Amino acid sequence: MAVVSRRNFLEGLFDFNHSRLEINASLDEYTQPLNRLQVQHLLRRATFSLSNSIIDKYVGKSAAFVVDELFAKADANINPTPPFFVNDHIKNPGNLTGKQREEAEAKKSLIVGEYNLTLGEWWVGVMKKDSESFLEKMVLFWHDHFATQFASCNNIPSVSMYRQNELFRKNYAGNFRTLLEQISIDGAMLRYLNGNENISESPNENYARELMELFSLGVGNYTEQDIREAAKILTGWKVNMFLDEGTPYKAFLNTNQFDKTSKLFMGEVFSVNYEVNEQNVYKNSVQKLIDVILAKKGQVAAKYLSTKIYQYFVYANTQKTDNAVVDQMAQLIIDNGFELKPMLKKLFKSQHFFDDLNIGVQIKSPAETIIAMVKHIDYNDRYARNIMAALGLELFNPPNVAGWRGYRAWISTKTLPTTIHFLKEIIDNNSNTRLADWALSIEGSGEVHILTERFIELFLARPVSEERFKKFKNTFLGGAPDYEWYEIIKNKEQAGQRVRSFLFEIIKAPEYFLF
Amino acid sequence: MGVGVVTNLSLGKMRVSAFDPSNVSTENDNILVIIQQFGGNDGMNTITPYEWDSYYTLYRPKLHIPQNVVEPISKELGMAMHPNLKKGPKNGMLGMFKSGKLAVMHGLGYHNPNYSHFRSTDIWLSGITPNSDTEPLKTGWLGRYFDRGRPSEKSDSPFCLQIGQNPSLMFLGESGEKSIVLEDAEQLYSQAQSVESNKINIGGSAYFLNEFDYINKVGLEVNEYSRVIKKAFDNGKNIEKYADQPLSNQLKLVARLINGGLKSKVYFVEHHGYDTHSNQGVLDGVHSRLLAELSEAISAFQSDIEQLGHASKVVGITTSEFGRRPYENGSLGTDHGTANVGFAFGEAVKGEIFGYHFAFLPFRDFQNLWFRTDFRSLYYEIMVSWFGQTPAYAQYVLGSKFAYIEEKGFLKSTQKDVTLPPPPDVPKVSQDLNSPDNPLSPLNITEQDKFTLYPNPVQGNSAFLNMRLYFQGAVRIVQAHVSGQEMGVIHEKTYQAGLHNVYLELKGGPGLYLLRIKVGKRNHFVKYLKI
Repeated sequence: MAVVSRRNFLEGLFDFNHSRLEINASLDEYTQPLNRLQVQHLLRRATFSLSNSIIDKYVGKSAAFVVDELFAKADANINPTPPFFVNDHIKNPGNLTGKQREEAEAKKSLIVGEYNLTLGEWWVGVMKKDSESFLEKMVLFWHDHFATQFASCNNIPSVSMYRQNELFRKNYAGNFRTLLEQISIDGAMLRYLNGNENISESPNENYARELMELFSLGVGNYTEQDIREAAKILTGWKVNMFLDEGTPYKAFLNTNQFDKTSKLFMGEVFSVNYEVNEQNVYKNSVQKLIDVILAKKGQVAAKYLSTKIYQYFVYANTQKTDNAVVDQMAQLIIDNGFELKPMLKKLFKSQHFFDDLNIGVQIKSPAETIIAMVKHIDYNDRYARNIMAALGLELFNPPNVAGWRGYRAWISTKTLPTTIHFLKEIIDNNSNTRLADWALSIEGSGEVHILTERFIELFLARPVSEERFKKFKNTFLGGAPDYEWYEIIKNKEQAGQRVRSFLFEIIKAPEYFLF
Repeated sequence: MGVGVVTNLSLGKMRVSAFDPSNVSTENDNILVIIQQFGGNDGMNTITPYEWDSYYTLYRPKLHIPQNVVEPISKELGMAMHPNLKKGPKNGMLGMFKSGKLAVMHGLGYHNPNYSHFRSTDIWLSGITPNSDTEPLKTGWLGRYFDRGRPSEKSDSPFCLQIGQNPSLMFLGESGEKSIVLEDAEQLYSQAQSVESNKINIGGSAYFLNEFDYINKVGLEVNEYSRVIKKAFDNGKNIEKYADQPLSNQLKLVARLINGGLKSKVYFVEHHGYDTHSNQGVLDGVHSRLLAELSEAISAFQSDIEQLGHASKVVGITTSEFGRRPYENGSLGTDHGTANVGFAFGEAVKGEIFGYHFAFLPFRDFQNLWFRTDFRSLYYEIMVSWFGQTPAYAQYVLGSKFAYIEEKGFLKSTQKDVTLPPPPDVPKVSQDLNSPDNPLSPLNITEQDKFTLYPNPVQGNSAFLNMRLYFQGAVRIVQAHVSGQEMGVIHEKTYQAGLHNVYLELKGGPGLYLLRIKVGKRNHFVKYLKI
């Protein structure tokens, strides 16, 4: 890489008109070569953690090139190695006796309990690895959008939670229609929103309501009648978890509990004038329901989804949601038959996305605050998962069906000190030698000002002022002149101690919590 | 924290003009404790209409609290407390009621109720009833209340203290968060020491600066307030023994901080688990356990506050986003409803019952009840009568004035105010069996009895009627044209509660028909098509 001089570094970064309040609302392509900050911006929004070498690789390239790369890499990684337990199925302990029963009981309690935590640990590992694609960011988006808590009345089996996660990953930038169809008979969702209790004799409206209120249209875009009828349309779907009771974890239709009467949903008649079997009901009820929603209220759905994607990837401040941009995104969704990738690519390549006003303005969730650090140093993925949970983002267990509140709710007088406390714990899990090995593996780290620059670009949303830069640099030097750094790094214990001091300072900076 | 300058405030679609600073009273020393019952408390099993047959037979055939175990609190009004409300020191909340320190407030709710937890919770927290479902609710009533700032002698304590995890909308004002969120005072203090404690002035683009300053400010606040809170925690103590339950522990911390001299005005604690759609249970069920925890926590807190010598300045209220429907559902639970019962406690409250039992309110839509008192009446009264604020400022916060509950108010200090608007209209319970207001209307959609005809459409001259009856009754089925013209009784027999499949011979050629099914006094319809 070309070592960036301090001067060029700062000039490149402050080369904007800061008093400007008008934003470039165009989704037209940003065609200039990306500068260092713009590359960081794109990577920060696309991933949970940065690495200097990946930034170096993309500086000077076009937005179109980098965005295509980041999607190509996502496409290539949609099948990560699953956690160890996902194909290890059991028989219903209730149908067994003696020792077999005990064993199955023990396994069952793991599947509905402990393995859900293991699953979170597994995902942290996957997120950590994904520093060059949009994949895991999108998977988390869908997990938040189709929020499902494993810890509900009866814990949802971890295998079902995994299958749902797999659904999100395989369709990370796929077709919204497909996602709505498949989530409607997703095993975890059937349990979470009582779809498996939604039977013709006693319809349960829970899923039907959330399908419209939270998953597709937003509050106010449907009637109570729509909810009642949608619930009837979706009756009869079940999911089992045991080998001796059908295919475990795969949704199936109990034809006796499917409501065979005619329903009237959003003005469309759903008559059951076909042979009632799983395939026909999926096609004529589930898929048709989604089809009617998207046909009658496609604009509303596209706008609803675009708004959420905009707030997730551009700026979460609802008062600054750029309606002109969101409308264009919604139109792209419609024009592409609810395929999302064309819209996403257009957004990430756009002048609007790279407008300086949008850079460094997102507040990190615990996924970003924690993974940004554990990416680089040693920390157990399970503990990292636990820390994220303690900070309010428990993977596979959002607080409710509306998902996480996000934005400023991540930073409160409660979470700010706790996050810093946990970050220190993560740093202190590493020896001085380990910290020194990491820092000194960074290209240019022999020069203290370059190391400072490189650390700042890893952890802070935007470059800092000359004065604060000096302050940060000085935590490496402890008051000594720059050239002392050559001496300090000869001793790894000493160098690691300085790196530790530096990290303790950087995690206090308000920009550590922005991206 | 400086005194915020409030200019123009938009409450939903209401535009409220700037308040006149000369019209704001100085703050007194009174304290408010809010206990949020998340999920929607089942008021009907909290205060039972224990002398009313319909409660046992019609509304809650399975989920009633048996008459012989409840604790009557008013013979005339036919109201009794759930037996678990006597758990806790000095006979729990029942003891508090008997010694005049607990107000039971019936019929709390609002117009155009929303049945979503999130939306209805936000409505209660914001103190705004929106004009549409999509109207954003951006600030909370206490957030707006404290937008005016605090007197300097109290500015070292946070305005409000929330025990829990995530900051509540209730404390979000136009000028930011007005609460400190914590679970443990000592932990907060030790962790706050490593937060950036200086104001950092930087340049940069506008949105970025906006977020940067927000985070910087949160850091400064927590750093400063954690010291104050720690000091109060160290100086304070508890005397009463509390149950080792989350809600009790939260209130125990509140009592200790008040005792230690913290000058926060409002304390907010959360009690989770009230969303009892299924397996709500009766005496050994989930809801009963929650009420035991509630009573243990509130009564221990009240006793503690009395022994610590702060009883004259502490008042508490319970809030919940909605009540539950009068009719139990088919899953041994209850669904999201409307009007509810709430409590207020402390030496300063009138230890009375306000309103007749909310279960006697007319129905508004066959399933849900009207309300008697807008929940914002409590907020208005608290601001004016407890915080000693001017009516003008309370009106500014809520966008309107509100009648006191039952026009007299639940606080001893409340003065009659003839300038207040009248309480909301409650339609009379209709005697007309065809009226939707009448809880006995045959048009009621209930989840008690269910009838399904199959096949439907009917092809031959016969079909099966699948009936799920919740209690024994004489069933009489009349076939009718869809126009209403009756074609005669086709079945008549008394059935036990449970599932039944009844074979029916049907008359007439192709067309649309109705089965009018009467079970005891209740009427149901099944529509079918003959082809």
